This record gives sequence, structure tokens and C-alpha cells, in this order.
Amino acid sequence: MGKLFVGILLLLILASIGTLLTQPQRQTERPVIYWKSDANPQRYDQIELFNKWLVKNGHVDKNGKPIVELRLDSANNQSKLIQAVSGVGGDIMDAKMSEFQPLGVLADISDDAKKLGFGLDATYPGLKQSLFVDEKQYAYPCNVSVAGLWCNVDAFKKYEIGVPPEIWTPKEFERIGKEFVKQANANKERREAFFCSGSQKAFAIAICRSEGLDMFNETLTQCTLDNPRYIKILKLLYKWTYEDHLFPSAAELLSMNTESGYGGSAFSQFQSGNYAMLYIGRYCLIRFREFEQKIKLSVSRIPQYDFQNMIICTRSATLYRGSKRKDLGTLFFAYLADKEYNDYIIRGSDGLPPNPQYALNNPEYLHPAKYPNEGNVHERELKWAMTIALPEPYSPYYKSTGMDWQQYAIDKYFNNLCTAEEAAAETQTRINGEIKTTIDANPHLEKQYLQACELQKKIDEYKKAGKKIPNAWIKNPFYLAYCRANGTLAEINEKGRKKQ
Amino acid sequence: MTKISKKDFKDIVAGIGFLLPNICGFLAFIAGPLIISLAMAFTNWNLELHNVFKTEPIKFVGFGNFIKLLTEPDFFRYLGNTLFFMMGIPFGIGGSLCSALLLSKNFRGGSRRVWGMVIVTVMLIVSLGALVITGLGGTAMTMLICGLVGVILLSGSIGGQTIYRTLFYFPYFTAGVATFILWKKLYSPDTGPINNALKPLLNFAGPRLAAIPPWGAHLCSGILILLLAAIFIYAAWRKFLLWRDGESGTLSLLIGLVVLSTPVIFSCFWSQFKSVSFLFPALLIMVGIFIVYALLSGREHQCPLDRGMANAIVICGAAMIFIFILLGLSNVVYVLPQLASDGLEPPQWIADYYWAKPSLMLMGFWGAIGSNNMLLYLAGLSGVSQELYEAADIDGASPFQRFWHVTWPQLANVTFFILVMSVIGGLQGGFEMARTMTQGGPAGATTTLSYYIYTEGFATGRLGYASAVAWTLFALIFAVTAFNWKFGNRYTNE
Repeated sequence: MGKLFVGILLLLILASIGTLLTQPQRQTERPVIYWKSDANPQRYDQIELFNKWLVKNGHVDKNGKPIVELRLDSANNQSKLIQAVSGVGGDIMDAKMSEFQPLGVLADISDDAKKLGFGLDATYPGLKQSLFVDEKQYAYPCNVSVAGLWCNVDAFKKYEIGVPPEIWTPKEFERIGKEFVKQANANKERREAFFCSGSQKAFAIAICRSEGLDMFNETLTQCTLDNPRYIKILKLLYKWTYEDHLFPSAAELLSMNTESGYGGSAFSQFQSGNYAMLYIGRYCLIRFREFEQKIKLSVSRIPQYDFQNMIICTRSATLYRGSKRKDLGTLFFAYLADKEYNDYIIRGSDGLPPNPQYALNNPEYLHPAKYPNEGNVHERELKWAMTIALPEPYSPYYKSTGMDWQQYAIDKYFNNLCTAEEAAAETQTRINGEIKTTIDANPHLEKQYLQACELQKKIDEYKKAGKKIPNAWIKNPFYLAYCRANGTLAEINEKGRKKQ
Repeated sequence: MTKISKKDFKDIVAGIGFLLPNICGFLAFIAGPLIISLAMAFTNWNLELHNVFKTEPIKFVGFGNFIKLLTEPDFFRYLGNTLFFMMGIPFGIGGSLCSALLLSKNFRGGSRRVWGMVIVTVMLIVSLGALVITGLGGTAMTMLICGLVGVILLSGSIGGQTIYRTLFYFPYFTAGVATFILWKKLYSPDTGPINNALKPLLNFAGPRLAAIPPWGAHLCSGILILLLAAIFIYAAWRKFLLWRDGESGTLSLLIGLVVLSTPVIFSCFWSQFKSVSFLFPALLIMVGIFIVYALLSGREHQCPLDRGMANAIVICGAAMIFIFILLGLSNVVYVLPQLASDGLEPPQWIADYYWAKPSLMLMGFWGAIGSNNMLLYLAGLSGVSQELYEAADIDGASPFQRFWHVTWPQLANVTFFILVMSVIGGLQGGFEMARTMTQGGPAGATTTLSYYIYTEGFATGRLGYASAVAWTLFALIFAVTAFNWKFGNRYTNE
């Protein structure tokens, strides 16, 4: 018995030593940093390119090899978060800054950004809220997307319907959409063709914003969706889904979904003309370019009323606060802002490149010779990103990672469990309830919140009195842009003087 | 005091040495986290404030988290969803018992009956092929399902009991997520095989149901209501008789009547059958009269207050579920001609708020039929003495009587164990299904307590609150299990 016990013990010790010796760090002399990202095959190319970039820019050791070895560690958002708060996060993490920064797990990269050239001036202005908190930079984009309505031009031609213009109103959208579904579903046993597929939430927000209303108020302290403008848009979306059948309903989506990779069956439905339009970003070209038959493409904005806007999103890289080699990690951000990486994104069509200067006036981006069918899509998305794009609604006092109360209320309304008015009221009540929970739990945030609430009172008074609102008071990027556009913003610089 | 010899001591040390890795693992990964989570439930632990990079001190909040969750309407809603799913447990147990009974039969041999079934199945499959060729896909799908059922039922005769039993056990050893995705496809409203099978049936039935005059529908609905009332009265009367004969305590009588009355109370607000809605308050008044009569008349044999509690919960609980089903059916039948006037549409399953829960229950039922419960019943059946069956045969017992008076009582201990485990599993369950198939939706219809714990803990980072929910769930499970052990154990031994 004793011998057996000792034998097993020795075996365990040997196995432990073996494990220790085969640890990845021991297989290389160079320091290793980990990049937590998705398992996209393009990441391996990007790592290879990073190695070349390091050599080209002189970041090499005495043997002429790159000074750091970057390894991919695929992980989903949940595991990234748990690892990060436990002190074992990846050195570089693809993460939504707004979710990770409040946890205090991200390193401030502002100084390095200035030094190595990956600050806000090296990306899109609309992304500021997605990369910065209190003027400190915590992230830099890996790629960017301004989702628009991608049109299958061939499908429109087939039914002799004009291709939608870039800018259109909800009324035009409805008219063209009804015409399309009528013709495309004629003589079919069941509805197979729809005018548009995509996030109804994104539609609701973009159309709402075009009427001067956002999910949160100017200081981001309260949800403001219990508003006739939002109710009107909910009703419109219901009509478009269940009466006009421009959008597939949840049941119809379930029928078409194939669970096959990202985007599900939407790409093939779009390719075959069953969806005339698809709400998506430029990254969809990765899939479209794989199809043998190249359909002609065009892209339009979400239909909206007066104030034109689009939603800008990013998959951004962040530097882990617990990283032992932050100095090496920041090199990766410099690489993301440099030509090699941006050219790779342009060629691979994985969204917009993080640094727009490599896309502007670049014929390889604007008119790729190999894909003449892609028409105006590149130019338009870039133009939106540089001009009218705004980030998704965000409040530092609202945890968007929990229950999606906006979608919850939309589901209730779409399942006829409540009216549009009740859905709007519930969205607002629930989100404001979540804000209260967050504030109650966090005394530091509470102080900041109360100050912001005071500021909001002032803003409301100014609005009532028809006075211009100082730009420094407004924290919501939408209201900054909106007030600026309609002349209700007082542009005051840091010294308290009016900007020229 | 016994003296431990040197050799014994060495053996003990060696034994502990072998066990040590397991004990360490248990302490580090089970006992430790359990204790920490219990402590966390009384703190404001929030990932935003408390993690390796934040030095904010953790505050003790006493029962704050528990008070919060008890004042949170969502908690009760998700608890309600969990309990709703648990209504499928009796059906699951019944299904696994049926499959075990079926599997314990000897299918070997070439009797005429078995060959006749083989021929019928082959004919079904051939006719399916013929229908597909003639373009009747929907009907073919219906036939396919019938054909498959036939093949499965006959597999015992074709491939032997091992294959037959393995086929039934299939749902259990198939990876959960894979089966959930498979079911998601089966539930696909427009293209799924279930609706494809239902469509021709509904198309056939629709015009015929629409042609039923309103009085006919009302009559059918009324019959169902009367059946409901009959079950209610019978169950209440039996409970009363048990109480009178001293086999059931006063507490268990009251609890049984409350359980039985639950659907009747619901129906006062929920029934479409307005013309006889007086029936529901009448039934409730009857319960009141029972109680008053019982208290006034007294009883012949006294017994402890809680005697027969398991009977009150299990029998009255099962009756309650049937009453609920009859109530739902009566409501549907009442408006059926009206519903069918525009043609009957198959359900939208998990995409529909009202169908999402039953869809998942149906899937759970499928899983339960071929689960470990079936194996337990199979083991239990093999332990039933043949002499009892022989005695029953000598007494001229019918197959049902053999089952009811021999098999069922002999399986009482197994059933009790399965019930306890199913209740525990039911209270803890629902997470994988919700995460894979519905994300808790539509509109929270399939969010169970386990999914709620996950979103609170890992999505919003409120670990203190999530722990409080988890420990409340534990308390609930513990109470139900303790109740089961205390009263159920006695019942099975009786």
C-alpha cells in the first residue's frame, strides 16, 4: 500500500513538473503577451503582421527578432470579465470599454497614445465616448462599423423598383417596402420575402434621434423614452413588422435562422433576394465576397426625419491594468493605428479601418478593383463615420450588461402583452430603476450622479427659457451634436470664452 | 478504549493520504466557495466596487439583499416561471415509468402481432415516400412522425432489447446544448417539422371546427367544466373521508383543500365561460362548507395534525394540475369555432410569449422519458417479486389491477426518490434551455431563478445579491426536500 501511495505521489510530482516545463512562457525566450479576442482566423494573420511591423519599426531584440511574442487567447466576453476582475486577464483584451472601465481593470493609455500616435485624432470623432472616460483614453479600435441598410440592387431591379436613395424618410421606406413585399411574395404559399432585416432597437434609436430624442437625457442621468416620439416609433415598428410585414417577426426569424456562424442565415437570405435590405456594417463583405455570385450592392441610411444620424460601433482593444508588460502591450495599439494593420482591414473588409486616414482618398478602399459590384458602400459608410455617426446610447449609471429592458418592453408590446404607451413607460421605469440600483450600490458614483442631476435641472431651465446650453454641461454626445446642429449650443472653451 | 495498533495507524494514514487530493479538491472547489457565497449573500459585494483592482471595503448589509429580493416583483415572477416548469414533473415521472414498463417487456420472438406491426410500419414509410413523390410534403411529415414512432416501438423486436433501451436512453446521453438547438429547429414556426406535421391536421380540422355551432362549443366546454368540478369534488371528498377516518390530519386536510382550490380561485378571474362562472365560487363555498362541517361534526379517529401530508401534496397536487389543464381546455374549446373561423394556425412555440413555457416543458418531458429516472424504474421493476404477480394472476387481477395493486406500491420508494430528485432538479433547472434557446425571453417568459442568478451575478456583477438569490433558492429546495423526506418517506413506507 505504502509503495503504491509513494508511486502515485511521484507520478503526480512528475506530471506537475512536466506541466510547468511545458508552459507556453518557457518555450520562448521572448516575453509573451496575450491577446484575448474571438477565434476569427484573421487574428492569426494580424498577429503575423504585428511581428513584421515590430521588425520594420525596430522593436527587435539583439538577435533581430521581435521583442515580444503576441499570442491569441480566444475567450468570450463573460470569461474575459471574470478573468479580468480576478487578476488574470489577458494583456490586451478586445472589450467594450464602457463595460470594463467601471470595474477598474483597464489601464489608462492616454500618455502612450500621445507618444505613439493612437489618440482620438487617429480615429473617428464619433468614437470618443467609446474610447474615453473623463478625458482619459482606455481603448483604441480594432475595427469600426457604422451599420446601414445594405441593398440587394439586383432584387430591386428584378421587381422594377428603384433602388432606395441614401437619405430617405420613414414614409418613403414604408412605400417602397410595401411595394417590394407585395411583388416578391406574389403567388407564394407563405411569406418568404421581407424588405428589411435587422435590429428594431437600432431603428428605434436612430429614428428617435432624428426627432431630437435619445434614450438618456443630456447628463445621462435618466432614461427619457416615455415620450410620444418614442411611442410613435414603436407603433411604426409594430406596423412594419406585423401589418406591412416589412421586417420578419420573431417567429419568421426563427424559421429562417440556421444557427450557422455569425449573422445566421441573414446573408444567404439577402443574397437570394429574400431580404431586400440588411442592416449591417461593412464587415458583412467578408461573407459576401465568399459567395460565387456577386450581387450588386448599395447602402442607405436608416430612414429618419429631420436630424440625420447613424450609430457607430467598434470592437476595441484595451490594455489590462494587471498586465506585467504594459510597455509592450501599447506597441500593439500603435500597430493598430498604423498603415500595415489598416491596409489589412481594408483588404479583408473587416469593417472600417480604425484609422480613417488610410481609407480617405485610398482607391483600394473606396473602389476595390476586384469588386466593382460593391458600388458606393465603402464611400458612404466612411462618410457617415466621419460626419453624422454617434455612439450607441450609454449612461455610466446604467449597467447595460444585465437585462435588456428596452428589448424586454419591445417584446412585450410585440407579443400584445401591453400597449406601446405601456412599453415606453416600462422601459423608462425599468432603466431608471436600474440606475437607482447602481447609484445606491456605489457611493462614488452617487456623488457624481447628484452633481449631474443638479446640472440637468439647470439644463431644463435653460431649455425652458430658450437659452443656449453650454457645451460643457452636456455629456450625451447625441445632444451635443443635436444642439450644435440646431443652434441651441453655447460653444464655450475651457477658459469660459465663447469659441469662434 | 480500543488501542490502535501501529499497523492500523499506518493504514489509516495511507487511506487519508489517498483521500487527501479529493478532500483538498472538495474543500477548495466546493466547501470553500459555498461558505464564501453564503458570506457574500450578506454583503454588498459588487464587481464594480470589489475586485483585485478596487480597494473599496466590502460592507456587511445584514439581510438587505434578502429583503431586496423579497420586495422585487421580478423575483416572484421568475420563481413563478420555475414553478410553472415544475408542473411538468408528474408527466415526466409518468413518462419515464411508462417507458420503463415498455422496456421491461420481452419483445423477442416472432409473434404474429409483432410481425403485423412491422408490416404496418413499413407500409407507413412506403406511403410517406409516395406522398413526398406526389408533392404532399406536409402530410408526409405527419406520416414520417407516425412511421418513426412505429419503428421505435418495434425496434425491440428488430434489434433486441439493448438497442431498444439505448434508443430510449438517447436523450440523456446526447449533449444538452445540441438537443436544445435541435429542438429549436423542430419548433421553427414556418419550416419546423412539428408545425409541418400540424399544418395539414389543422387545415383539415379548421373548417370542421368552425362549422360547430356556438352552443356545441359551449356544451363541450361545459362538459369539461363539469369534469373539472367532478375531479375537484371527488378529490376533496376523498380527502375529507381520510380525515374523518383518522388517516389524514387537520393540517393536511386544509393544505390539500387549498392546493385543490388554487385553479378554482384562478378560474374566477380567468374563465371565458361566463355563463357558469357561478360554479367556481360555488366550488369554493363547498370547500368552506366541508371545513365547517368537518369542524362541527368532529371525527371518529384522531391522528396527528400533519398525518397524510404527502398525500395532500402529491395527490391533490396532481389533481390540481389536471384541473388546470381542464380549465385551460374548457377556455380554448369555448372559443374554438371563433378561432377556427379564419383557419387554425399552428403555434409559434418559443417565439410566442404564451407558448414559450409549454414548449420548453414539452422538450423537458421528452428528455425525462429517457432519463436516469427510466433506468431507476427499470431497476425497481426488476426487483418486484414475481410471486406477487403470480398471486395477483391467481386472484384473477386484470393488467391494470396488477399494475395498481402490485407494481405501483412496489415502486413507491423509487418514485419517492425520483420525485425528490426531480423537485430539486426542477427548482435548480432551466438555465441551459433559457441560455441556448430563448435568452430568457420573450419578455422574460422563460427566465427561471437559475438564469436570474446568472444574469445578476455574471452579467451585472452584483455578486452579493446573486448569492442571496442562490441561497434563497437553496432554502426553498431544502424546505421542499425536508418536507418530502418527512412526509413522503412516511407515505411510501405506509
